[in-house]
Amino acid sequence: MLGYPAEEEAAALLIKIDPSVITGYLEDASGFTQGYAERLVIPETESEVAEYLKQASRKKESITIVGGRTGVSAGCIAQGGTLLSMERLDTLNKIELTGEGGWVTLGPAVRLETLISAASQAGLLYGPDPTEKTGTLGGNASTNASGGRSFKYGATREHVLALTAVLSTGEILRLERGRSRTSQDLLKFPLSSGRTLECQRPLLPSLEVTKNAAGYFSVPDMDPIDLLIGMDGTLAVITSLKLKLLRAPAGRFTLAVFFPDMPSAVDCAAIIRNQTKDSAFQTGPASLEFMDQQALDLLRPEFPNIPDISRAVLLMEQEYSPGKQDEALAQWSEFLDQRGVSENMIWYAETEPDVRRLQEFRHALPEAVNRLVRQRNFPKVGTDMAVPEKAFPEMLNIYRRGLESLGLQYLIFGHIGECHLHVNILPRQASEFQAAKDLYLQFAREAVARGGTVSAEHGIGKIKHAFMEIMVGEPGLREMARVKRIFDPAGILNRGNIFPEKYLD
Amino acid sequence: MNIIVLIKQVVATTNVKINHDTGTLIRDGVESIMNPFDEYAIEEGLRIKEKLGGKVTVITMGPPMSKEIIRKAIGMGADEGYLITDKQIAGSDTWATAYTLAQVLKKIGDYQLIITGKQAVDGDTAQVGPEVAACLDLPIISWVRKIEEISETAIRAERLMEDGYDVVESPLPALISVVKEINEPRLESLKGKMKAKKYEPIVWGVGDMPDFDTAQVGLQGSPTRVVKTFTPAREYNGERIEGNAAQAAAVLSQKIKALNIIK
Ligand SMILES: Cc1cc2nc3c(=O)[nH]c(=O)nc-3n(C[C@H](O)[C@H](O)[C@H](O)COP(=O)(O)OP(=O)(O)OC[C@H]3O[C@@H](n4cnc5c(N)ncnc54)[C@H](O)[C@@H]3O)c2cc1C
Repeated sequence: MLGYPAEEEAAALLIKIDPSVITGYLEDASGFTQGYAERLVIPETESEVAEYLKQASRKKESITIVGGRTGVSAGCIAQGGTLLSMERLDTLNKIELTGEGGWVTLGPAVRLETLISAASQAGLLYGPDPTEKTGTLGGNASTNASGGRSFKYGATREHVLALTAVLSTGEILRLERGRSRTSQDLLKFPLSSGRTLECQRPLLPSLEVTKNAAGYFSVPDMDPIDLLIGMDGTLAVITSLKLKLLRAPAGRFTLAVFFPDMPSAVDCAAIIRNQTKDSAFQTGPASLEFMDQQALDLLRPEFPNIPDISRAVLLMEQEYSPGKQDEALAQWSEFLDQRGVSENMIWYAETEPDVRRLQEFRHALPEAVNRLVRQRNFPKVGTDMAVPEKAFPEMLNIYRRGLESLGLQYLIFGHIGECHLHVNILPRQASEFQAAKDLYLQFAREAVARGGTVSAEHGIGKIKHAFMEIMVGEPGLREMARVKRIFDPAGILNRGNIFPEKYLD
Repeated sequence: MNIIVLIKQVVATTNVKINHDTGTLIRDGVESIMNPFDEYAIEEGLRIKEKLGGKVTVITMGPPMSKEIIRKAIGMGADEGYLITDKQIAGSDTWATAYTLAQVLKKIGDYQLIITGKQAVDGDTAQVGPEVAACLDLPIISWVRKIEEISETAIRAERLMEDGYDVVESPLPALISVVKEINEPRLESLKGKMKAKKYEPIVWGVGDMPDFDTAQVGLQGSPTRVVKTFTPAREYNGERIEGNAAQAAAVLSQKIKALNIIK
């Protein structure tokens, strides 16, 4: 326990030290079980956050920010100190319409599902579509969450127009995209205190992937706001966000296209990827996903209509503007004809019940994997790398060769549009579990050597430090710690996220 | 083989709302879909066609907007669709509906198998299929969970029962109604969808059927009278009978006899 009476703070901030309440806050979707905390603080306003952080900095009281607790890398799990739950900062303001769509400001605790339905009532669309709809927008921004439609719309980053964050010093930072530009890689952050925080852009190996959730964002001439997106709560507490909304499409349909072998699916995806970049091809899909033969085999008992001869599937979601459905259908039909895909290898879904069936098809895979894992009593080993497009076919070969040579049971699926496939290895015995973990590290090295990221989506949090190190090396970890110390001189915010705590001392 | 599937448009039951003043369904703004059991009927028809060759024709009786479910059937692979719509048949009950469909089938004439879903999820009566068979004097196998064998002239099917299943053989033509255990309905195909979008169903009114007796249909011609609709109050006044199975059964049968339900 820290050396001051909890009651003192309780007046304004509602500190909870009831262990039974705290325990409920020490779990996310990572399976990480080593969380503990001394107290739980649930502020109601930005100034309460600022006041609390100022005190905590003085006392070097470690703070872990809690959002919707749907994270998969234990980012919100405390290891001592205080849990700062954002749950009461959940105001969703009125959606404002503009020519191309609209925007909205909201508190960080607003859940994705709440935003999606409010936007849809206003005829608008929030582009990023992370699968987990109970996550909060603060968590999404903090982890730069991405989803199925990130193929078309990008990750959360591109949709954050402005944000407010509180530093551990209690100072407030308001950033608007496009307002300030960097000069010679010196990022400037004007603070509420009148002080301007200056920070040299972190020097990290440059990436060629379209999507990344590992480590701080850093590119030449970057917008300072981008440093705060994907920082995993290590630099500041996000207290409000201004998000971009797009005009909703008139309609959308989903296609499942089955292939008799994996290479033809991979080739087809590559062509779709390229055509999508070509503006003459109207019908770039919003999402482009893949499952391999092992994944299909796992799903066959539940989905007996999967064509017998299929060994891979692409799932695509196609949006269209008013009056353009026929054109979109015709373009897909012609394209798939050219690829020699026969009619009985294509599923089409547009009505609500049919779309739901295809969603179930997609979501049934992780569930089927988890069922198998529970039977076996060995955890699965799941990868999250993305690589540049030119390295993608080679990377896929590396995966398959590595897995086959060890005789491991595995399946490959995911966001082929962004060259981001998940390999899930399903060990049957302890030796296989160890082999799988080693193979994962090896795959990560191969991906990094080709300009890829070790984590495109799940993030580093507290459980993937080794992978972060593979990607940026010790100098990179030190570089990120340097940036963190500028923002958080007391070193109290989300300690142990992204890099080990030892780099802070 | 010519296969005919009888289908119906219903409101998506996941979001049905009831007007508590009138006791009727609120249909405004509610999505309409194909009766889910009918998708199994179409799927089975398509599978038989894939095996034996022939043609799958769907027939629906309903308002003009029911064309949408015909298009859905075409998207799945059906060859032809009839919409039977007429002011004079509006408000028909199950018997009047069966009479109308039977007249349609008589006019179409050339079929070996008629398939329906087990029941429509709106009325939940499960009457129309059997009544159509009765009107046409055809054999019926209801609640089919599996077709064991089928040829141009005969069918052997498993009929789902509460305590197992019956194996029933019948000559064709016949009518079968299917339960969802029978198959997994396919989604539309892309080509199917494109064809369906352009497809115009054949539309018939009562004037298209020879000898159609309009006195037997519509609200007036329907033998059913809806006197009142209401949401039944739930009553939980069950009584627990103790004892082993034999003792409990004896007590139970005494009680039922006392209520004059059995003699
Ligand atoms: C079934 C399932 C599917 C998923 N699918 C996806 C997916 O498609 N794409 C994807 O990217 N992720 C996915 N995730 C992971 C997770 O939903 C995302 O990481 C999400 O962004 C986490 O949001 P949260 O509110 O739950 O944050 P939490 O888990 O509570 O926290 C995540 C991190 O953000 C920090 N944080 C939270 N709020 C703030 C704040 N206001 N200021 C600063 N830091 C903050 C936390 O301290 C922590 O480090 C999935 C998870 C599950 C369980």
